[in-house]
Order: sequence, then C-alpha cells, then structure tokens
Amino acid sequence: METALLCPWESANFLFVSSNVPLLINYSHFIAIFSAVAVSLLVFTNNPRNTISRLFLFFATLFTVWALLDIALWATNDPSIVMFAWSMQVLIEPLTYAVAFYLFYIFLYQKPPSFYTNLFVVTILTPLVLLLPTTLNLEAIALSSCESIEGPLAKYYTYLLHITFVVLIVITAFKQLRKLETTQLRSAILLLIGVVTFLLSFTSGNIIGSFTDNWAISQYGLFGMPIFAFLIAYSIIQFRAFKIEMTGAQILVVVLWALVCSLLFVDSEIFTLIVVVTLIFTSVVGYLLIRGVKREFEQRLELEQLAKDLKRANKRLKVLDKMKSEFVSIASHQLRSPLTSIRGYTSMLLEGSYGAIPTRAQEALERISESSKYMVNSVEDYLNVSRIESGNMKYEMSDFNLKDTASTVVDELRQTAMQKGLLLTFRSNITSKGIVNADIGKTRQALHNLINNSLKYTERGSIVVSVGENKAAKKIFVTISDTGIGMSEDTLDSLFAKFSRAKDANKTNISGTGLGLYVAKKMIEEMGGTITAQSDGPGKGSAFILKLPLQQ
Amino acid sequence: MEQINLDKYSRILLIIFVLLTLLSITATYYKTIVLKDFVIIDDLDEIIDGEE
Repeated sequence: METALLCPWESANFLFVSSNVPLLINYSHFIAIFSAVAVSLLVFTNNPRNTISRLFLFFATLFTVWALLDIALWATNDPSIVMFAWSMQVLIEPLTYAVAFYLFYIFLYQKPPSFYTNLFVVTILTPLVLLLPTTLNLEAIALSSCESIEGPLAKYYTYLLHITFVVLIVITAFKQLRKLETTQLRSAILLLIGVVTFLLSFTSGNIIGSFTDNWAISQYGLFGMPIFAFLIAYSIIQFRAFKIEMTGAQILVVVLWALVCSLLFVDSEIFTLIVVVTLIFTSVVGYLLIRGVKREFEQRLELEQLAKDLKRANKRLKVLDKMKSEFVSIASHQLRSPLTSIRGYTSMLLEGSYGAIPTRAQEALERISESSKYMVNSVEDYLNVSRIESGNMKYEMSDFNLKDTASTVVDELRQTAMQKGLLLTFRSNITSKGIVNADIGKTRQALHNLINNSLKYTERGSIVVSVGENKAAKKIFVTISDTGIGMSEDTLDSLFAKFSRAKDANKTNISGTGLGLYVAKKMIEEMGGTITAQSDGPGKGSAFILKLPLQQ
Repeated sequence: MEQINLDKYSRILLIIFVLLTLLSITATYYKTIVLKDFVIIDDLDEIIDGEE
C-alpha cells in the first residue's frame, strides 16, 4: 500500500496548529475573527429580529469560516485538505461580497432589493457554484509549496465578481445617500467606508497573492476586518445604527480585553506593534467615551429640569381645566334659570295671558323670545361640552325606533325650513323595524344639531333626511344631505372640532357657537355610533351620516 | 394592466441557490477529500496522479 503524497513539512495538529503557520498569520486571523464575531454577536443579541442584524451575523460567519480555512491552509500538509479548503475559499469570498452588498442595501433602503436585483446576483454567482468542483476552478496542487494552481474561475471570475459587488455597493450609496437625514447619513457613510475598506483590502491582498504567488501579503488584507468592526461599533455608539443601544464602554472593554489577550500569543517584535495599536485605540475610544459621558450627563440634567417643569405645568393645567369646567357649569346654570323665566313670561305675554299687547310691542316681544331661545340653546351646548369633558354626561340607554325619532325631529324643524324658504323632506327605505339601543333624548339632540346645521348653511334648495340600513353590518344610518355651501377638504378635517365654524359663517351672519357638531359627534360615539361628513367641495352641498348599531 | 408582484419569487430563487451551493460543496468534498481526484505537481516538473 502506497502512502499518500504530503507537502514537505510536519502534519498539523487539530487542523490549525502547526509550526508552519507564521505568528503574524495567527495574529492577523484571530484578531479579525474575534472582531467579526464580537461585533456581530453584540449587534445580533441586541436586536435578533432585525434583518440587518441577521445579515451581519451571516456576513461575520462567512468571514470566520474563510479565515479558519485560511489558517488550515497554512497549517496542513495534506493536499486533499488544501484543495478542498482552497475551493471553499473561492466560493466564500464572492458570497461574503454579496452579503456585504445586501447588508448595505437594506441598511440604506430599509427593504430588500427587487426581484431583478436578486436575479442578477444569483445569475452571476451560479457559474461559480456550478464550476466549483471542476478543474476550471483549481487545476492542480504544487507539492513543494502546498499551494493550489488556480484555474480561470478562481483567478479571474471571482475577482470580477468582487469588483461587481463593490461597484454595486458604490452605486447603491450614490443613489440613496443624498436622500438620508444627517444622523442616518453619517452612519451610512461610516458603514460604506467600513464595507469598502474591508472588501478592497481583502480583495487586493488576494489578487496580489493570485498573480504573484506571494500569499503572505494577503494576510494584511485581514486587518480590514477589525477596521470594519470598529467603524460598525462606532456607528452603533454614535448614531444608534441598526437601532441598537450600546455604550462605548461595552465595546472598549471587549476590544481592550481582546488586544491584551492577544499579547500572550505574540513575540517581542509584534508586541510593540500591539501596544501601539492598543494605545491609539484606547486614546480614540477613551476620548469619545469621556465626551459621550459628559454629553449624557448634561442631557440628564436638562431632562430632569424639563421633567420638573412639565410636572409643574401639568399640575397647573389640571387646576385650570377643573376651574374652567366649574366656571362653565356654574355660569350656564346661573344663566339658564333666568332665561327660562324670560322665555316663559314672553310666551305668556305673546299668548295674551296679560291682556292685549300693542303690535309694536308684540314685534319686540317676538324678538326677545327668539333671542332667548337662541341663548338657551347656546347655554345647553356649553353645558353639554362641560359634561362631556368632565365625563359627567349620563346616558339612559333604551330600545327605540330611530326612523320615527328622525321623522319627529324633521317635523319639528320643518317650520324653520319653510321660514327660510327651504324644502325639508324625510325619506325612509328600511325593511327592518329600525330599533336601536341608545339614549333617545341625546339621539334626538344629535339629529336636531345635524339638521339645524344644514339649515343654517343652506341658502336655497332642499335638505333631505333619509333613513337607510346595512343589514349585513347591522347598522342603521340617517343621512342629512343639503344643497348648501359645501366644504373644502381642510374644513372637513376640522369640522367636528370644538368652536369650529364655517369659513364664511361670520360674513354671512350665521349664528351659532360652533359646538353643535362637536356635541352631536361625541354623544353618538359614546353610544357606539359614528357621525361622518362628506362634501364634493365648496358650493356643492354636504352630507352628514349618523350611524348606530341596528338591534332589529 | 395589473402589475405582477415578483418579490415572492425572490425566496424561491434563494432556496434554489442555497440548494445548488450545498450540492456543489458536497461534490467538491467528495472529489477532493474522498476520491482525491486532482493533479499533483511534484517539485514543479514531475506530474503524477494524486491517487497513485
């Protein structure tokens, strides 16, 4: 039995340990692996559901596998392991680039690329995947150096892929960067610098290795990973990139620990270099940390002050609100009692209870009656607002016929409509009984307010009150359509707000408190219904729809 | 004309690509580690078959 051919040095222990691996290789690889794993795990554990966190972890995993394969390549003397590990590296490199592109794209656009972009990526990667086991990838292995002889796939196609992905990343950046806000822009620029620095240093090292056979140079490319990891960490601390809350102290401790630990594995020559790197790193991060802590301290003081002010203002507002409600309630009650007397006596005077009244005095009395009626309504509105806001509005729910109620309200207001020369009609096309469960008095008032509103804002034409139903949705609705002044979209938005009146209400001498619609809507909503308004625009009339749940 | 939503096909594309990649890795493993089917250049002038 013949023994398999091996490269001319001792076998590796545990695949990675061999005297053939230079110290700097171990150092550059393990530092890069540690940076990638540490930062990607920090990002992932802070926000595991985020697509970017997941992609970043996948990116770091690919890189870690690549770096481990690289150490195995330096350590082993078995040609079959070299051929397999080398092939895997050829596959993993472009995949790392593709994932970096997706990472950057999703970070900028907050969504995955389109199907056509995915199709393009898969199409350019497929030849690599399909030809990986063939001699187009690796032609042979040179036993003296234990290095594979690369075919056109490994030598040219993969590097073409690398360049394509870097170009894609740069194009993505230029398309989107100008649209970003300052914080996101800074974070994106740091990520762009990190990705491109890493990928270019990675690629340039490998290209030099492929074309000069000096693979020792490619190890320096790996230092791009700690730079990338540092920029990601900085981006997270400064701009809360990836929506992650992390302090500089966490990152500083992890990196310092890694750097100090690594000193155990190096000789005196590299020792000085690592001490210098540690010093620079500690200085930069230390400065950022102190600045961050100072800023956070100032912000905390400011927040505490703001919280105190807010508490004080809130307390004062509550007192003022209570005072306002009490004032409105007392004032309204005080006004209502004398007004009832005025209305009562005026009515009696007009009916002749105190004898005949001269015609001129009768006109004056009619005006007093009209004005006091308006005033009673206004006071009632103020009282209702006060009750709604204080939560003291009482609802006596009972089953009643909404169709009949609407018809009654229409009859009550028909006289007013006729006085204005308007046609007020009532229609019903329901097949059910039209029974609803609500407070009959409040529902009447809401309908009254809606129809009255239409009467006020209609100069000529008609007002149609129609009752309809939607049996499937178990809803009954009363629609009040008019041929009045209509509304713009802006008016529609603020229509149901307190004290909201039509734009030209004051000019056209339309009286009202601006509370009718607000009160109606609030009351109906409290009873489980809705009131909505529609209009095709100014001058095109309006429609108000009151909906309540249908009982039967 | 109603636009066809192609995004759902991205997932299918990804699954096919992952399967292809796994297949390719298996084939490479079988060829290099199990069969040792590759050319070895010994001292850069003597070519011998890896299996011999």
